[in-house]
Amino acid sequence: MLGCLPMLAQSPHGTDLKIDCAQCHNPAGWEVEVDSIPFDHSLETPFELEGVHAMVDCKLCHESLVFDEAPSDCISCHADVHSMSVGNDCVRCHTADSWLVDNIPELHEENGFPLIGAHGNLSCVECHEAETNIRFDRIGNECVSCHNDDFLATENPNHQQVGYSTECTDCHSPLAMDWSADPITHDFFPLVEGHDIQDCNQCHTTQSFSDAPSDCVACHQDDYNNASNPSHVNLGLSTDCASCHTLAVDWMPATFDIHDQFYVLNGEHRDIRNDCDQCHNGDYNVLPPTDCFGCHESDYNNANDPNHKALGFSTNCAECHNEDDWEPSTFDHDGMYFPIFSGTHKGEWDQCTDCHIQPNDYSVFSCTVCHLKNETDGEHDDVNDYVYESNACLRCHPDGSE
Amino acid sequence: MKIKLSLSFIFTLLIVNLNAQQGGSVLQGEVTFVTSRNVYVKFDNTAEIQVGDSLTLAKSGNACLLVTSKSSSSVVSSIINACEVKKGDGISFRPKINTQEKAEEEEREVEIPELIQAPAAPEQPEGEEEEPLHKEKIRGRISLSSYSNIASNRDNRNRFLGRLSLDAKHINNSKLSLEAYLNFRQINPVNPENFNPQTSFFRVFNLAATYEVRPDLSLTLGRKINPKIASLGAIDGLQAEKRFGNAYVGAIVGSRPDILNYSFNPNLLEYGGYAGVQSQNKNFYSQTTLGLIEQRNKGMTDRRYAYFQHSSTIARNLTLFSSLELDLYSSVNGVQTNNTRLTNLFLSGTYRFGRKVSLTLSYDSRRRVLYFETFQTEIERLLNDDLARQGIRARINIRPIKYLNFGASYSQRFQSNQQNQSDNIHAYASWSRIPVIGGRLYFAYNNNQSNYLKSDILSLRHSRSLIRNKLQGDIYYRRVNYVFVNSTRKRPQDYIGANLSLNINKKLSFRIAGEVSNFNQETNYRVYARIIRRFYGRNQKK
Repeated sequence: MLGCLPMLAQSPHGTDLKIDCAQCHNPAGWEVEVDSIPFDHSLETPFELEGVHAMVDCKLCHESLVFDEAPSDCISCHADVHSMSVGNDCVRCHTADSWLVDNIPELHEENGFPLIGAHGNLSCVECHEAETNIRFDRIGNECVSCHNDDFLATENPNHQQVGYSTECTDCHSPLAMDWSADPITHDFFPLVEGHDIQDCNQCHTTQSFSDAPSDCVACHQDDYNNASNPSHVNLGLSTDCASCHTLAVDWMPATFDIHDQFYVLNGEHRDIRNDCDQCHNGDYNVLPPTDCFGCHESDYNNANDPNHKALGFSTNCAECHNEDDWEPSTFDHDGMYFPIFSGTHKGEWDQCTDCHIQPNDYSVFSCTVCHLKNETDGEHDDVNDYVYESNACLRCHPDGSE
Repeated sequence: MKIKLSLSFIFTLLIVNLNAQQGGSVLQGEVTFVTSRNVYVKFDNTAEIQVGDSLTLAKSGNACLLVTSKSSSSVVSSIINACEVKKGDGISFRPKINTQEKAEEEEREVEIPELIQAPAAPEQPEGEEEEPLHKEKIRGRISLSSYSNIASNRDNRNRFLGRLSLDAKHINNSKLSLEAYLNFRQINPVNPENFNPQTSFFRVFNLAATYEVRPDLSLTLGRKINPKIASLGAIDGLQAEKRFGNAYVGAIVGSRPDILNYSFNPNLLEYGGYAGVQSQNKNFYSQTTLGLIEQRNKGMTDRRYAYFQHSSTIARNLTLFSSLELDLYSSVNGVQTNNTRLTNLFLSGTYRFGRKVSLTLSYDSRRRVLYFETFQTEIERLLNDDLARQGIRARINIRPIKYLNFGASYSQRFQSNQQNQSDNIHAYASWSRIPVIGGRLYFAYNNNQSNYLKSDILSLRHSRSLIRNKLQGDIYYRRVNYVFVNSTRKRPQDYIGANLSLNINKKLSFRIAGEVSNFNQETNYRVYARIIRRFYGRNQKK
C-alpha cells in the first residue's frame, strides 16, 4: 500500500484531473486502449470529439500529459490557409469530418448571397478570383460588385448612358438563362393591357430609365388635355387617370365614380349609371338638366293615369315620385284638392276612379256616385241654392265635412 | 481500486524481494539530480541494474528508489516509500544472483507508467550516452473529391479536387522536418469556350523544410504559411525564429506568390520581422505577435504594413483572438507617403458559462488590400471605392442536457454607403440519441436580408450510425423561400439530399452525397464524392 501512494501522488496529468484512473487505464498497464475506454471526451470536456478529432492520436492535441493545457481553438492547431479573410471561427464552414466543404449553397444563404438561378451552378473560382483559390477577398453582394464590367459594356441599350439602375434585378430576372431582358422584371410597374406596348421608349422618353415617373398624367398629359368628350380640362376632372380608367386599351371602359359630386345617382338613375348616353346623349360637355322635367318632360306629357298635363300636376316629379320607380307614387290629394286620406272620406274609396269617373280626365270628379240624390236632397231641405251637382258639393264642402 | 491494490501488492513483493536478496558486491552510486518526478543516480556501471529494480538509500538502508530507465552510467528512478532524497545522497544496489529468484522477479516485473518510464534506450555504441532529443512524428493525408452540378436548364459543372497534406516532424529522429500542403483543382465545364477563368489550378500552400538548429532556434526554407502571421499567407523563402524563454523573434526574407497563378515569383520580394511572447500556465495561455512586413514588386515598394495577432485563453473559460493589419505606406500619382490605413481588423471573444453555455462575439472590418505598385494604374479607382466592409456577429450555444443542443446567431454586414448589406439570423436545435429511432435530429432556420433579396430557409436533417463506427448516413430536407425586394412574387425552392460516410478503416474514409433541388421548371442535382487516406509514420500507432 505504502508503495503506491507516492506513485499516485505523482499523477502526470496535473492536480486538477479528478477522474478515476480506471476511466482510461486498466490493470494490464498504463497503456490506453482508446477504443474501449469508458471515458467520454465529448461529455467530460468542453471539446466534443467527433469526426477526425475522434480518430487521431491523443498526443496530437495533448502534447503534454496535463490535458488541460491542450488548446481548444482551431487556430492553435490548424494553419489558416484563408489568410485571415474569413476570421477564426472555422465551424462556420467546416466540420470535424473533413476540411472539404460540400454544403456550399447553405453557406452562401447564411452570408447574404444565395446561389440561385444562374449563380447556382457556377464554380467557386468564377467569383472568388484570388490567386490562392481559397482566400475570400471582399467581393460584395450587390449585382454590380461582379457585373460592373457587364453593365459598362452593354450598348444596346447603353446602360451607363441612359442611367439604368445598377441593381440588375430591377430588369433582369435572376432566374433567367441569360442577360436578355425577356421577360423583363417590371413588377414595380406592371406592363399589362394598355401598358403592354413592347417599346420602352414610349414611356422612357427622357433617355434615363431611372427617372421615369409612375403617375398617370406624367405620360398621359396630352391624352388628358385632348380628351373632348367629356373635356377633362373644362370639367376639371382629376389627373389621376386611375380614378376613372383601368389599364384597358383605348381608355374604355371608364367608370365615373365621382358622378355624385355632380348629380347623385339613386334608384333607377343609379341603375343606368353605366349607360351615360341615356342622360348625356353622347355629349358630356353639356351638362344635362338636373331638374326632373328636363329629362322626363315626355314622361310627364304622356302620363294619362292621371293625366299630369291636364291636371296641371307639378313638373317636379319628386313631389309624387321617387327615383326607384314611377310607382308607387305619393300624391298630396288632401292638401291640393280634397281630403281623401283624412277626414270623413278616409277609407271610403279604393281607387281613384271611384270618384274620378273619367280616367282620361282627372279634373272630372263625381260626388254623386256615392252620395245618392234622394239622401242628399233630404239633408239639404233648408239649404238655399242647393244643387245636386259635384262641383256644387265641393264648393260647399271643400274639406268633405258636413 | 483494483489497480491500486494490485500495484500495492506488487510493490510490497518487490520490497520483500529486495530485502531478502542475496547478491554479489553492492554497487554504490550518488544522487546527482532531483526533480519533482525523477531522481537521477550516477553509478560507475549500471550493467547489473535492470529497469524495475529498487535502490536503497544508504543512510537509512531502506529501499527508496525504483529504476525506470538507465544509461551505461546512470539511472533514472522514482521515489517509493515516501522517502526523502536529495542531491548527493548515497545510493546502493545489490545485484541479484539467485537465478530462480531472478527469473521470478523478472516475471513479476512491473510495467512502469509511461510517464516515469522513459523510452528504453536502444543498443548504443559504447561512448554514446545521448538519447534522441527528437522523436519522429509523421502524419499526412491524401484526398480526392468530385463535385458536380447537373442542371436541367443550364450548363453542368464538374470539379475534381485532389489534396496532399504532409507533416513530417523530425524525420528519422533528426532535426529536419518537412511539411507540405498541395491542392489540385480541375474544372470540367460543358462549354469550355464559355468558361472565363482557367480550368486547371495547382496550388502549393506549404512545401517547406524546417531545421531545428537548437531547441530555441529554427530555420525554414521553402513555401510556408507562418501561423503567427496568418494573414500574410504563404511565404517563399527563408524564415527564422528564435526563442528567448517565453519570447520569440522571427525574420522573413523571400517573396510572395504570384498574384495571378500563385507560382513562385522572385520579383515580388518581401521581407520583415516579428516579435512576440507566449505565456502558459494552469489558467492562462497567450500568444501575441507584432510584425512589420514590406512587400515589393520589381524593387518598388508595393505594400508596407504592421501586423498584430493575439490569441489567449483565460481561466479556461474565456478565449480571445484579434488580428490587425495597419498599412503604413501609400503611393498615388508618384507621391509616396506614410499614411496609415487600417486594412483589416478582426476581434473575437468566446466565453463559456460552464460546460453548457458558450457565447461568441466578433467584429471585423475589412478594406481592399492595396498594392500600390502592382495596381498603380487603378489605384485612384480603388481608392475611390475604399470603404470598409464591417461585420458583427453574436452566437450562443446551449447544451442544457446531455443530448440536446441549441444555438442561435445573429450577424450583420454593412458599409457606410449602405451597399453590401446583409442581416442574418440563424437558429438550430439538435437532439442526439433519439429514443426508438436513434440517431440525431437537426432542425435549423435561417433568415437573411440583403438590399435586394430576402430569404427564409427551414431545414431538417436526420443523421445516424448505420454500422457502428463504420457507416454513417443522413438525410435532409430544406425549404427555401426567396423574395426579391422589387417583386412581390415568392420563389420557393425545395431541396432533398442524403449522404453516406464510410470509415473503411481508421486511415481510409469515403463519403458520397447527393441532392436534388426543384424550382418552377428547373430540377437540379448536386453530387459530391470524396475519399481520404490518412497515413502515419512507422512509430505511430494510428
